[in-house]
Amino acid sequence: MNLFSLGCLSASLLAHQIFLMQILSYTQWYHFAFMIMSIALLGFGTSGTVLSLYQKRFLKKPEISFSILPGATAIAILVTHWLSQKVALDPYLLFWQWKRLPYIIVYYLLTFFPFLLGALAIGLTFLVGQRSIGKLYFVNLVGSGLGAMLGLWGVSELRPENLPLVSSGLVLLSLLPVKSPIPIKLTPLAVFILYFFRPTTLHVSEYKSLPKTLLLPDAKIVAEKPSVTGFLQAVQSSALRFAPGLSLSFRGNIPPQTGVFNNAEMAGSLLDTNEKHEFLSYSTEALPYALVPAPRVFVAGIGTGTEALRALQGGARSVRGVELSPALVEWISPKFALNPNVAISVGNARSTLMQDLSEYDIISIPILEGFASSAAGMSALAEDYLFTVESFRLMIQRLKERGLLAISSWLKMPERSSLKILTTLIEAAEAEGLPPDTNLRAIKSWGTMTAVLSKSPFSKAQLEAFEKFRDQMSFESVSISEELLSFRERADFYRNHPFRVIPATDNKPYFSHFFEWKSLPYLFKHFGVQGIAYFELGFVILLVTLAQVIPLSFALILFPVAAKLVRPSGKVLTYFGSLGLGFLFVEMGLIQNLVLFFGHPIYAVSVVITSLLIFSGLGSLASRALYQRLPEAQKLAAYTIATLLLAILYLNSPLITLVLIAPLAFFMGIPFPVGISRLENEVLPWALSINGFMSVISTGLATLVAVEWGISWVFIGAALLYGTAALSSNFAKPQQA
Amino acid sequence: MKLALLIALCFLALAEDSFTTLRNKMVDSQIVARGISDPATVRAMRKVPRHLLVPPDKVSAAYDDGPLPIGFGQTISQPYIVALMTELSRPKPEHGVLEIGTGSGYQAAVLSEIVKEVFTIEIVPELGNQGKERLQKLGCKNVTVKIADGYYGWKEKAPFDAIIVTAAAEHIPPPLIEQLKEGGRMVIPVGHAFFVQNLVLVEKQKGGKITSRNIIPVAFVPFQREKK
Repeated sequence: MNLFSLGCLSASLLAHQIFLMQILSYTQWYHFAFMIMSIALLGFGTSGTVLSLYQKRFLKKPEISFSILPGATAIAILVTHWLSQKVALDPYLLFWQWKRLPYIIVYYLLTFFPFLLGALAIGLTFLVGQRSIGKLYFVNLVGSGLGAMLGLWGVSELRPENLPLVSSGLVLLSLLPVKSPIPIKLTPLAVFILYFFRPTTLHVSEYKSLPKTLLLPDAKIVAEKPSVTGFLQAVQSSALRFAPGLSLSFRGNIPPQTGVFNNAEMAGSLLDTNEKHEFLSYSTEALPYALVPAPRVFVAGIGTGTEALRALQGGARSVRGVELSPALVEWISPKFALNPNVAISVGNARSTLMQDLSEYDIISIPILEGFASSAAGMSALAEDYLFTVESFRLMIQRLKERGLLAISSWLKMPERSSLKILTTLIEAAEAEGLPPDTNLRAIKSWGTMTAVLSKSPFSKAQLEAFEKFRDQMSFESVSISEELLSFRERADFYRNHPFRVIPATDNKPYFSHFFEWKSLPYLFKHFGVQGIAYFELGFVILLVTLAQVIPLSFALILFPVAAKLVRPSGKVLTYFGSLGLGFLFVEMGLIQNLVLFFGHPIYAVSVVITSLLIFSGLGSLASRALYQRLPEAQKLAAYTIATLLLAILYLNSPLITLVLIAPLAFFMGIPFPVGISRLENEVLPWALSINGFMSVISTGLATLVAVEWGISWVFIGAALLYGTAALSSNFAKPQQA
Repeated sequence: MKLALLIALCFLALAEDSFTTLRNKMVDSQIVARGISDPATVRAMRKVPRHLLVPPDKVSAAYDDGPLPIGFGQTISQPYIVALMTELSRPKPEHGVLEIGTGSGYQAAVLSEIVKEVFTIEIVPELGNQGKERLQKLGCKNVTVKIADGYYGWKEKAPFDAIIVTAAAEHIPPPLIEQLKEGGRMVIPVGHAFFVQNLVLVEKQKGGKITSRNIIPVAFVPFQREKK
């Protein structure tokens, strides 16, 4: 396969990963998407195993393989996608009904197949062109980098069902320079045209909010907007009313609203900004406006704009709101365009407050996520730099002398998120020299809690207003136990609590992760085995994914050895395994390091992936020349990478990280092609399979390390892995059995 | 011919007998064992043939310890949850009860065994019609089904001694609180229909004061509670 074809195919496979993640996040849920994609990506490793077994057959007529394999990939992308929408996939039912297992296995196979075919073509290209592996790997990496960009573009511009057309179309492009019989070229084109005119309808799980809402009387989708943060849809129905956590004292009317759905889950509602909505004041979230007159308000995560309306109704002089989703800001900004007191911008609240030195009377974090995802622990593994001790401290610093920090959340049963908000506020207050016993108050309704931390002790008038608001709304005060307020007893409280209620920090920014290994007996005893899955779903899915991926990977790595096609070499296994694991560890560590700097995870992901792949590509391009001059180039490169990683960790400065990415990535491009060039032809596919499988394992493993031990250990782990690669880099050429 | 009919009737009787055995087992192991003690509730749970209210392909699982999908993203609740919601509503023979979310009709059928009148509202027409048909076949003459938006309750029949909401919501509809009698109770699952919901008990005390209590987390799958 020539370089153009290789680049197109590499770009296609990476873009297709992003597309499938988005399609699965839309039709199912993100965490299942993660599990299914991990299995699908085993296609890369499996291609190495298949090449080990059948390389002679593939190499007999490589030109045929090079036209058939990409053609089959282009067809498989569309056909497997079409078929996958016919599978009644309800992964949630799996926790309850084991007979659903075949459905998920079929789904795994359908998503796995295009990656296997595409990776076979790439692996075969490496095998045939082993002598110029540096150049080939360069094209592979740069193609993947461009594919990542194209993937993000596709997700932000196209409807989910059209995304596979882009990845399939890219593979078709790769076929252009390939000499092959006309039918082999035309068949994928015919499938492409057919899909273009008859794209499949996506089968959204009937248990997601959107399909259920569409069952309501006269419900219709009135607007849609693809976006990098999810596919936004607006639905109108005369029976759609959204008033989360409404007080039982409210007797008025709640008007029908336009519901906003992000990836088919309810994300809030768009209210008429010209009207007064009394019900907004009947929520625990309205508490701060009862305590501070005419405040200047900052809203972290303004969502559909409800909190801005609540603040204005509560007498706010001005409201500044930031929101991560650019598409949502595009929708809500015109609604407030005529109000000069409201300013809404795209961004991360924490980064905005770091740059904006203004002081506010109220900084509010409204309830950010839907009850469902919150209750099921779906965000457990999502990094959230807003709910950390450091973030709360910054917010306290941006408050005026008598300002309030107000944070609301759903009440989860068993209680954990509201408790963790209190512990985080207490530790942040103490770190800022504020006594929590006099400066912290909280109220709860049947479903929500709002905690307010004042920069000065509450005045008598404020305490009276607090009690009046609580009683009028039929809310209750939340008592903050002595155990929590006492620094000494708090450590015991954290240790003895069945859930992880110790505050999140920037090193472990996983506020929604409540899982403790010691929770298992508690959950099992009280709620049975399904309770574990339901209350801590995100973490359970990660463990389930690793439990599937690790044994499968090792079985497939060892299969050619067991079949006596490769004589096992511990050093080859260690070297390519460490590189496979290490690359993704570095990627994840760097993204985390830069999220706050860029203000939006998407920008951090884009910068890190693109620069890593492109500079690694350049390193790969230079690897041959380096290796010829320096026989230990791969060892030196691996040691340099380990050193640079430790330097980034030690210096802990986003600017330095940005400067060091280029040299780091350049060196990261060297060990793989140099290692490949040292291998005998028969062993090369085995090395590819080791590298491919370990890359998949590393995604889950790096997350596990970050969640359990902190992001600094992801860097240390990456440095250790590259160090290990350096130590095992002098592998003797293994002999064919 | 007569012999064939006789044999068929015998088989039917045997099948019914086996369902009765399964139902009694369900009540003993899933309901009484978990602490449901209200005699009227237990009696009703023993009597209502759940297998006649589930889709035909789910009949064999009708008495399993869990909810079952009935289409349109809805489920027939786990028997324990139906019993718990019934018991929490403290039904009496003279009561008029409003149910929001007819679904399969099972909750209405259980209530109809205990109270004087059951009014049930379903927003999805297909489900409402199916539920109505099933309840008619069961002979639940004191149940009235209406296809409408349950959010507004049933003003003409209000006030109610109890309201049971079987469809999850993210807030408690004010019209339902209005239509609850003083001293009445409302049981409502709050949250997403497919994930973890909080089962909330709302009480309207004499004088109109409203209080609420979170009872247990409930979800699509059963959460085995400790034996009380």
